[in-house]
Amino acid sequence: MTGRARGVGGSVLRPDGLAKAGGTFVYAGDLSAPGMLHARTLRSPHPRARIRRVDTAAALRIPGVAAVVTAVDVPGVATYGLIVADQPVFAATETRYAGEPVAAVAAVDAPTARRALAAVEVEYEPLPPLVDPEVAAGPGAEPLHPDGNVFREITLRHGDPDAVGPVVVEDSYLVGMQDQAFLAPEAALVVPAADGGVDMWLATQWLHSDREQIAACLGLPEELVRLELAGVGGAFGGREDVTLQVHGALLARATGTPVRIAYDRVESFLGHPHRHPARMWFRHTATEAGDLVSVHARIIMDGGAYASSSPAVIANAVTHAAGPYRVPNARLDGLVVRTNNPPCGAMRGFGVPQVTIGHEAQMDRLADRLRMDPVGLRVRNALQPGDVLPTGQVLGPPLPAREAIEAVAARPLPAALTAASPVTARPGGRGAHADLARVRRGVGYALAYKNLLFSEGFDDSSTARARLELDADGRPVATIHSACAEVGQGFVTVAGQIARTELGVDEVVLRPADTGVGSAGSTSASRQTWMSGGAVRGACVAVVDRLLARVARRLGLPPEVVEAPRRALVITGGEIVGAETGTRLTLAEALAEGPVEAEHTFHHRRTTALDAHGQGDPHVAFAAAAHRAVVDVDLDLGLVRVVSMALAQDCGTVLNPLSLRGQVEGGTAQGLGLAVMEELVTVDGVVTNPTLHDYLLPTTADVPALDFVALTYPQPDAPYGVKGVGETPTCTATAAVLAAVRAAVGRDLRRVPVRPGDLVDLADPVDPLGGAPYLGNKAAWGQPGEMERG
Amino acid sequence: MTTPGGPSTALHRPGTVGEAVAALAAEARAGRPVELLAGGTDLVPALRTGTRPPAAIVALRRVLELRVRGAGADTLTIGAGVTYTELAGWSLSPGLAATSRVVGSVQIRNCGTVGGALGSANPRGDLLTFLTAAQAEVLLTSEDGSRAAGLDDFLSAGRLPGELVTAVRVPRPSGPQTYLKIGGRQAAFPSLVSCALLVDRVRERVCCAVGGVAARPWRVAEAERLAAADVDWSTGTAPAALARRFGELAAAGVRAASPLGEDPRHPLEYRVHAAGVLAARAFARCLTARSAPRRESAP
Amino acid sequence: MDEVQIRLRVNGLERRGRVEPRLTLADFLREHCHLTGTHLGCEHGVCGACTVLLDGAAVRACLVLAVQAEGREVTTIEGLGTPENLSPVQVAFQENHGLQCGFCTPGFVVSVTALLRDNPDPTDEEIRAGLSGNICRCTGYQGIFKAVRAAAGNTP
Repeated sequence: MTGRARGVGGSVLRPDGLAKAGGTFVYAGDLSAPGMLHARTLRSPHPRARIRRVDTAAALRIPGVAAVVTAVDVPGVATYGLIVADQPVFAATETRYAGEPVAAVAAVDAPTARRALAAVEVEYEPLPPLVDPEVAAGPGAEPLHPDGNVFREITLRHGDPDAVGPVVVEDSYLVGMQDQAFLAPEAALVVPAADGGVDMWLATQWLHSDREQIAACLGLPEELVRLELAGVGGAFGGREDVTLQVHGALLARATGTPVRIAYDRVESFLGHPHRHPARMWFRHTATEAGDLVSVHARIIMDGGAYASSSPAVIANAVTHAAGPYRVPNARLDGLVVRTNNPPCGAMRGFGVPQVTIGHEAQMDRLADRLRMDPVGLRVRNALQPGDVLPTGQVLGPPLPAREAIEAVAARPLPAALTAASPVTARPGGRGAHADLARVRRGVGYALAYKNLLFSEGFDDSSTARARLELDADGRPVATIHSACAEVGQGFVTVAGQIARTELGVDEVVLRPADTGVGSAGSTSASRQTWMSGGAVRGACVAVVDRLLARVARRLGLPPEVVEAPRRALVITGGEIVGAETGTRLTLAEALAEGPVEAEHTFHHRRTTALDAHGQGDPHVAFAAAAHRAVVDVDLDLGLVRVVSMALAQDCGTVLNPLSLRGQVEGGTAQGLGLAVMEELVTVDGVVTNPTLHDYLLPTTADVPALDFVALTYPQPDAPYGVKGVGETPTCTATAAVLAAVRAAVGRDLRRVPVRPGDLVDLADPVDPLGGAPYLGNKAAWGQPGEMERG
Repeated sequence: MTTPGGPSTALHRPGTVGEAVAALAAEARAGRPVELLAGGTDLVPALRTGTRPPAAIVALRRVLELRVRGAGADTLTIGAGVTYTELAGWSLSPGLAATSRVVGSVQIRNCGTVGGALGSANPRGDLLTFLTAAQAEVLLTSEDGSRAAGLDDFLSAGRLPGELVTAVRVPRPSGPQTYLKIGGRQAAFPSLVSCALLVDRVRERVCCAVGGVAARPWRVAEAERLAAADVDWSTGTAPAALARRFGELAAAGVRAASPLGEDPRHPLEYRVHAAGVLAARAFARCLTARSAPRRESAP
Repeated sequence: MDEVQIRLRVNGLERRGRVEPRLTLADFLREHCHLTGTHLGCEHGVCGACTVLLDGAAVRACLVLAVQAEGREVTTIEGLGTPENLSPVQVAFQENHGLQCGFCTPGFVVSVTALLRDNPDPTDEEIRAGLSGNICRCTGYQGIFKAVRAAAGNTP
């Protein structure tokens, strides 16, 4: 293909695809160095305990053990964190969750390191854990941390808080803890450097944030901590927090030897923050005609032991709690609480999947009450650009929410299950042999919107460098340098496409992402194509400007052309052409004089923080999506098979149709998983299923084909008009599957993931919420009397 | 000797049952903990994490005697080294084939063995549930000789030191058989609740076991008695209402057993319910006029 | 005699080594043979990222001890094709966007290779069933199905 065909808009293949398919792509856990030690982490078995004593002497006596580090070995700041540095590098005097690191060991091989862990003596005094967020936030609860037990509380008031419509629907919903379950467990290689610093190759989402936190804990200036991205086997939010980085660096510095630190699957489940479990209460009111009058919601999220990104997640949950609908009056309250459960933080969707489950169940309930079609009710209330959101923010264009729900509703429905269908197509698969007469089909819809990029006034940016030069054979080659973490999403493809489009070259080299260039920000919040794509584009544009100016100067073109060369000169087909000036020379000729290089830092438009009433202009932009799910349910056993999924999504300009499809199909599968199977279960704060044997992920037999409609209205303030696409489908997939199951079984469902026991008639059914409304009159809330007034 | 990786592990690679039991006996006499390695699906991860640190491993793959399956006049004998993949296509035992086809994934079926299932004795194990319904005998050999143990006795008492499971023996099928299981997704899942049912048209009885509810696979005796009494044995069929009743009795029977530990996601109440549904479904598959006599076959 | 001398063929080449009996085939391939394309995602036989062919049968390298491979033929992802000369299955994964982060890809490619060898023209249901022992967290599987169909030569 030519540079143009492999530029923006084409289904360009991944540049790393051949290495990945060939098994030669190097992931973080594949790295090694001569003489390298193997490190492992000792974790607290107790959700809450006082540490009376840690004795590493016996572990150090084991032949082959090189070092054991604990809290006393942290030379710098003792804690780290994405937003608030409240998490100890190692628990010193108290452990706050089961799985919290207490020590780390480096040894000649992994089995020896494992043995050494067992030899570290830790004397714990177990304390009663606080595992109920409402109790932990309530009056009289013992503070679990010097920072207190409430990470953040948001009280959003919009319009007339007392306004109510004549039609009222109300219920409560419970969402379980989902894990990102990226397939490559955490790993890093740390090499101590002669200058007293460390060089680290690792799998992460945000190199510069890691570096800042690592340097602070090591007590080193940031420039002595050099990070390079190694191959990343998925992330989905789960690599946004520091996990093993500081431990590995401490061991490398303590031993003066390269250290490989790596988790196995159990440790991965214990080591990184998860998606927040949520308890949510909603009351929607509407006119008899079906126009929403008010939405009241209370959302309580369990943040677990440490803050991670909890304060931002709850803001997302609250500001999206009413969904993509015109809601003139809103009272939306959110609380995220510290408990002795595992820490929760970022996962694809970032607070929005939880509230989408709630607001979409409410919309279905409202449609039932009004005897309206659920699609029609959504269409009637769908937001349009120019509408005012519950935060007071005016929605900018485009947001084809109405078009999205209409588009999925128009897709053809799948064929019915028949006796001729393979037995594997029945709910429960081959082994369940569902009785066809007792299989009921359900169709459900969900519509959502999700913010793109970072919010609440954060001045986010991404920096990239571009260089255009001749290679050894005299051909033009572009080199792009960005610290954007490629975690599988396809930035490496898109960056090359952008460079080809802007620079008119075929050959683009992407330098490894590292801290040798400015921060690209996090690979999260659907932000990298927009932010780092914008940075790459900006750098390429600057390179072109410099090159054209140089050419204009060299050719002695008029000063006005030298000053604004794009007015007269263009790069096309590998040539620089100027019709007015009669210029025509090849890129190779233009570059013979030497390389051209530029750096660009891209910023999105400024947003503002939320005020005391949750009002402001907090989000840069939004994307909408609608899913239609079709399920078959075995009414006798409560087993669900997802038969088909249709998705219409607001994608902005599509830079790579193939990549886009991969993102939305993957996002849909993760949402499906949360709906019917994925839950990390804790009992008294201890995770009971930290293996892939017991934390089930969707397989090839669980995920149907995706009938996908891309809505492609350009986003005006984004490069090329792009929108982030990765998160939105995850927000709607869960809610749509839940709606379809609800339609099939004809009963209210309050718990996600849906459990088979919730779908059948049991002699002694368990109400997951212990009676609704779940959050009524709980003293945890700041204004206990307010419920009654509403 | 202590190597950096920890106390080391001796490896025995016998080529015959005789050599295998000799190795077991030697380790037993030395008082050293020993593990038998068959398909490795349970042992190998435990060796890697160190949760099972044997002083010696007896690897059985080369013992070709263990990989034989055979048919006698009244019984089928399946060597301990026979894999699920081998059983999944075995026409002589439709029940074993049905069970093996729904074990794990294809890669697990290629490795996992009958002997491994008995050695691990996972109370939810698919094969264990089927063998319980099939009233299997476990054949064991030691240096002192060979013996046969009922599966129940084997599960209660386990292997004696120095003993090797060489095979299991089940009656030849004399009627339809089926194995049903449910779990958390559409394929490749560990069993949550399962039910094995075998119809014996010669002795005019039904044998049924439920897995995943009681602390071990559980025979549902009351339901079996109902079937023996009320099935029309001249045709080997029963009305749909009898299947429902069978399921109810199966659920009641397993409810009375000492339960497996709770999983908050799947309370006992649900698992008992599911056991009843699966038992009724298995009964109907094997005994309702529409489907009987039915042979398990891949769709 | 605690370390054991083993001899096996890996991707057609004879390999010898002295190994601890407890060493898994996956660790042997990764650490001793430096064939890091065999990935470890769960160490439990569930995710399928470590799938290799052992005497032609698809197995989990995390569930096999290196000593069990003694005298046998192991084929890893690296043995199916080189980056310059990939197998049709490998090419199909790249061309059909059957991979994103790529960590599951070697396991899938090995499983698909065995699947298509035994069943060159699988139905969609057979593909779904045959690959249900390999987990992908990125793609939602649709690109993978396309790759399998393309490799089977019956691209829709």
